[in-house]
Amino acid sequence: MVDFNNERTIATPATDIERVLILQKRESVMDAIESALKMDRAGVQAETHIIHARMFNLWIHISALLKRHLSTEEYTELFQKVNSHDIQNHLDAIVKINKVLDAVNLTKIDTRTRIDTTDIEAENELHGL
Amino acid sequence: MIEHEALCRNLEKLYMRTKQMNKASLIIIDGGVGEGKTTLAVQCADYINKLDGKQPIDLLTGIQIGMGGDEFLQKLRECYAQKLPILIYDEAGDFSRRSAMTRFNATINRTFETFRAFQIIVICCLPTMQALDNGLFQKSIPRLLLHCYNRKRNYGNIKVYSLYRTYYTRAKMEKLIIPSKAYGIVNPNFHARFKDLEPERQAQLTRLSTRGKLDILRKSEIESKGLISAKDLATRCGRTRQWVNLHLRRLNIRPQMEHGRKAYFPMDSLGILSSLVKQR
Repeated sequence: MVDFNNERTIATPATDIERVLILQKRESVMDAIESALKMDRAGVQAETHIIHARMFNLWIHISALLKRHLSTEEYTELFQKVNSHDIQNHLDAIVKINKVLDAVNLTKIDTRTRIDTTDIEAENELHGL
Repeated sequence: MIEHEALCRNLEKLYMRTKQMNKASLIIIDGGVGEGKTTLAVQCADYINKLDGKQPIDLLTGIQIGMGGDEFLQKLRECYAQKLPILIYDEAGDFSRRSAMTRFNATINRTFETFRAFQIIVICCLPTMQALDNGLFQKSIPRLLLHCYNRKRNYGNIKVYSLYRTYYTRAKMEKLIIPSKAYGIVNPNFHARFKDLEPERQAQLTRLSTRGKLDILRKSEIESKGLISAKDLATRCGRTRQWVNLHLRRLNIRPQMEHGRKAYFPMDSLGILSSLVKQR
């Protein structure tokens, strides 16, 4: 946001900052899940409190976004999973959250339109020719 | 006839585009001398004729093949009259960017702008599509480029480009020292191969093509010698053909060349006849 009361005239939009924060939080949740799974596979009891804390942190950032994209039942169910202490519930929750983030193009990387290159007219039309 | 599935699909789409959407569709076939451009054009035209429920191209009369611009314009009218769906404009080198300002080129340009009303697909065969006028591409008239290369005894090779990729190829050609290398740099949409025609049809095509090429050669000779026909003399003097013929006989001006049942006179005769007109 540009604050015209000071002399800075070039600033980063708030949406960009928020996007980066969400991606960072998501990354930290997945790191925690990775550590917990490693411990679990090694036969050590996994520490789910870290996953819970980080996931809740992410939830706070994106709860409004989730409310817009999920039905009431789905939203409530997802919150219960985020708030639980079971690693399986956390895994289900992060998968669901990833789907929503992909739908809003935050984590989607395959955005290039795919066409059959043997269809000449389709390619011409795609490029407005 | 063409058997390549993707090429057939694209020809069908172009046919639908011309017939149902009433849009202009031009197919460019380019490649070096003897790479099989005319053979490929005939095969594509046979396929489109088949889609339209017509017979394969008649290579005896050559109704659907125009050699050079004049013949192409004449055949366009004939094809329209006979409701034929496709016409080949062979030896299209006379329609080129360099001579784009001539009246003939302006006529051809205008024809390409308006020929969608005829619902005829035109196949343009020429050595390199780089020579074509930019205006044609800006109006999105050419839809498909078939580049023939590396012909063998029994088959030819094609690289197929969309209009989108043709633009990139043209841009590359402008910058390269060897323009034809652009075809190796820009990826085609797909590759294909085509076989030669049946021997009988190939012989007919050879005869037709040779006749056409000799005709073009003759016309070039006439142009290079600066000769003029009686009809053009009449137009430029503002007199009738009969008046021109009468005075040419009286002045004992003989034709220097005859071609296609027309006599061609030296350019000086225009000056002589014009002075006669002024005296009267």
